[in-house]
Amino acid sequence: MKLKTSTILVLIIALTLIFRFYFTFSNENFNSDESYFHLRLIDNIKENLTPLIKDDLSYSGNKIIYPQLFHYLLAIFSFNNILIKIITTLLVIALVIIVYLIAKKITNDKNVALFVALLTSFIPIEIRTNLNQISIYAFIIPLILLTFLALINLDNKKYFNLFLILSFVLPLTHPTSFIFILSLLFYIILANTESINIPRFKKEAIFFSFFLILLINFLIYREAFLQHGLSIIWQNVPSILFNEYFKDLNILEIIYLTGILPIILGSLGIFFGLKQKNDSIILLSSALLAVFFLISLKLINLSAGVLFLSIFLILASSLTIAKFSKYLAITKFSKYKTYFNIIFILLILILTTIPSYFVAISLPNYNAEIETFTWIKENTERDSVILVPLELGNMLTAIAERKNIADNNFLLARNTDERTNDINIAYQTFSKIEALEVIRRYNINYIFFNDYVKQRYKVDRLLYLDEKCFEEIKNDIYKVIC
Amino acid sequence: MIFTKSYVRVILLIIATVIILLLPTLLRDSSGYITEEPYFLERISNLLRDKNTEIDNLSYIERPFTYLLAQPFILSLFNNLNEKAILILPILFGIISLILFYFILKKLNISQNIRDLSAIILIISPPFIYTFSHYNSFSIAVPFLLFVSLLFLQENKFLKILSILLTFFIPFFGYRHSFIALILFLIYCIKERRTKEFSWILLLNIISLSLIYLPYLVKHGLPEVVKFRENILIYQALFSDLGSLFGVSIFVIFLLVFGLNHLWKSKYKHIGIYLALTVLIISSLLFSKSVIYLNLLLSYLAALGFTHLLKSNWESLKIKKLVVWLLSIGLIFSSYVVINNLANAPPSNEIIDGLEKLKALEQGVVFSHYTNGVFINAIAEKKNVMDSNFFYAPKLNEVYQDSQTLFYTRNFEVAQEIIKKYNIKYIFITKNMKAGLVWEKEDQGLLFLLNSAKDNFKKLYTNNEVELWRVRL
Repeated sequence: MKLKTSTILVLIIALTLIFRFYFTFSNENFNSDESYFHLRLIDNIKENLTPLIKDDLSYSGNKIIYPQLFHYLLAIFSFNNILIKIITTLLVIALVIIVYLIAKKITNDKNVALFVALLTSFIPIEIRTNLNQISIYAFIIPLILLTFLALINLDNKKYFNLFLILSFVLPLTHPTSFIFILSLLFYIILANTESINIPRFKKEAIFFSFFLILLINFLIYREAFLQHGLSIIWQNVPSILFNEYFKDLNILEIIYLTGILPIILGSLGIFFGLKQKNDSIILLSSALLAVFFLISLKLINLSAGVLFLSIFLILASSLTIAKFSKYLAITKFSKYKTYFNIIFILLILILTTIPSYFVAISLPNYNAEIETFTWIKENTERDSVILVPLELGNMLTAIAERKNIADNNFLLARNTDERTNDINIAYQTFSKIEALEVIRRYNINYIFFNDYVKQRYKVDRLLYLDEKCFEEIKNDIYKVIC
Repeated sequence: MIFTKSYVRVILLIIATVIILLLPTLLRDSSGYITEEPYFLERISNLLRDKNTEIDNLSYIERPFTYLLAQPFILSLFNNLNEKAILILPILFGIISLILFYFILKKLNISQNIRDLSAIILIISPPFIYTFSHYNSFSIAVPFLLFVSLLFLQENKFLKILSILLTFFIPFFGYRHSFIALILFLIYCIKERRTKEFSWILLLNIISLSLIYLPYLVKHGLPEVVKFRENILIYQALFSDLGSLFGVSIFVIFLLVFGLNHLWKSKYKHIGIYLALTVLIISSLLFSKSVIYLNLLLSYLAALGFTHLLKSNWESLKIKKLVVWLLSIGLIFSSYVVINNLANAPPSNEIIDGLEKLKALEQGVVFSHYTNGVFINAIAEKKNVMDSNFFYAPKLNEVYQDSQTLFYTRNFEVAQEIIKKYNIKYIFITKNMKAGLVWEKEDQGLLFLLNSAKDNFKKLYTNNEVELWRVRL
């Protein structure tokens, strides 16, 4: 029995959904602090219909510069957290379908496109970034790929209109839209060096999109640009966290997070594509160059960079698979094609699905923290300031609705270095005087100290605690009383 | 019929100019003038009227009267006629500038469409709105330079001579205006082979500059070079969209590219424009307010670019339309931003209230950030330690260094020494000083001392924007 392509695609989608829903609904909370930042933006839109621009809780008062189109969409279509979880999962399905369409366009082979769609369903780094989380990448990556799809089909009027609309939408979604415009820039350069003639209407569209995205980003981040000048590109990340955010390239880490198959097949695909001057592959190579460029200059954090890298490599893999498939057809092994297909599917399952599973089960679980933050919301004064690690800052503001000292919204925050350092001091110092100085500087009312904090700061207890100044009001909460 | 149409067009342009130039004042919550410049020019014009031109005994505690007198002088003339002259004059000169600009383009045989479009782009351009929405050092200099230029373009010999004679007065607005005018006249004269006339202009300017600056040089020597860097990046000052009050719109730059692309078709025929553009860009990089002159040329080139954009053949009509709409909205957006920024420019009502409280106190030296210095002189009528008029300011760099030390020290002895040195009686702190202009933290430097040495500092007045402290040593 031969299955239809669409049926296989539906099966792949079903497999992806089962995998994701299993992990998503095995935990009622989200698996990242970042999710709670997005949740606050969504809730604010639901309540006030306006984007959150000034946040009284983050940094005990901080301006938020963040394009909130994604949050508006989620606010419209989600009535509770379960619906949010379903929608963010469905976005990954959109990614699988778009990758399928691009691969089909590149190779003109539905079977190859199916293999590539299967590869996309289980990317370890994608699982780590998006699974059971509200992640902007779950939205922006399908959007960027859809824009690429529109660009390679630009002669079609529908795709042309779609390209123009997406040129407006991309910068209103996330600053990683810069990857797209950098790709366009490298594409023009590569096409010129390879003497590929780009039609005039395509040049016009690229020109329009390039400047529009640049302009909208500039207008959105104007205030941050004014505050930081050109160093805005490093997003005001505190220097002590900088290396963590923009780690140096570690080839083994990249292989693990991307998957060995996309790296080998994608690299070969780029090689073949450039050799035969394939327009779509040149576009993909440009996208890869753009990501490499941003990672090497530490303008994008490694995790996001590798995520984009793996997607583009998977797309480039389609050409290798197509080449192999065509080559096989003209050899004596053509009669074993089905076996080859089965071996390839098994390879995908072993080399991508198993690592993805391990990544999924290793995702952090914040249930204990969320329980405590819920308790804080119900049992502390509304204007309290709570000391929590920076990595839990968003969770605190979203769940406990209390002020934090710092979180990862660095862009317009003041004294990020000093605040991060002060949090470290408050958790690690043995000196009560030093701790009280920090506590008074930020008017801290409560200190959160649980197993996560112990592990994070490598301490067993807060060394300066005494009964005169600190009262244990819950097993992981201390009230400042002096 | 055509005459009537162009007449109506000019009237409409004038009405639009008046409305746009009035907007910053109409939208303003504050009852004060926009920025410090009108306050400064009004105070100097009052000193001129009272013939107190030897010493300014409020700025930098006391300083020689080394100010440029053209703007305050004209203001004092009009002030005699009407007290509201300071509000009316800039708008009036804005209209005159627009008309002069329009006729200069006509004289240069620029087509009516491009002329109209240039005028529209000029009216909505941030530098134009800045220059003519409040009285400042460019409000008269720009129309004067345009008037001289228009006369210089005439065939009539008498008008030409008159224009050359009038160039004598350009340095009275400042040597920078004179240098820019000289270079632009040089470019034009070389192109039109009128170098002999330029030599007269040069001679008159040298005489005029000598008359103005030689007495200063003889009496006070060379002015001190500013050694401290203002914490503002050049590109921020040049673009209104980056927060500058007088910078050009970045959307004009896009149109400029189209305009230059169109001109380049005739290669070196327009070499004069390229040179003028280069000179004005360089002078804007060196002295950011030159962007106000650059804006005049940009308005024409942007209009040219816009027309070229509309006429050019695009394979995709949809993208062409989108680009035109985008640029048009962008230009309007830049105007909106600058009108808003001007409407919110200092001093606010709270700052004025604080300064009025200060005015009621006995005379004494007031310490604050130098950007508040002019307000302290003009509204509170008190002496400041420092203000933003650096030219020939006494011991400029030393005063700046001392101010910085006083702002950031937590050592009472160090603060006491500086307070005694300048005989500081009051400390005037504004919200923006505490929000990054001076301090980053609540207990930084002098703020720590003010709150801890309670016997030596007493808070006299406070509101949302201002803190006024009395020093007792």
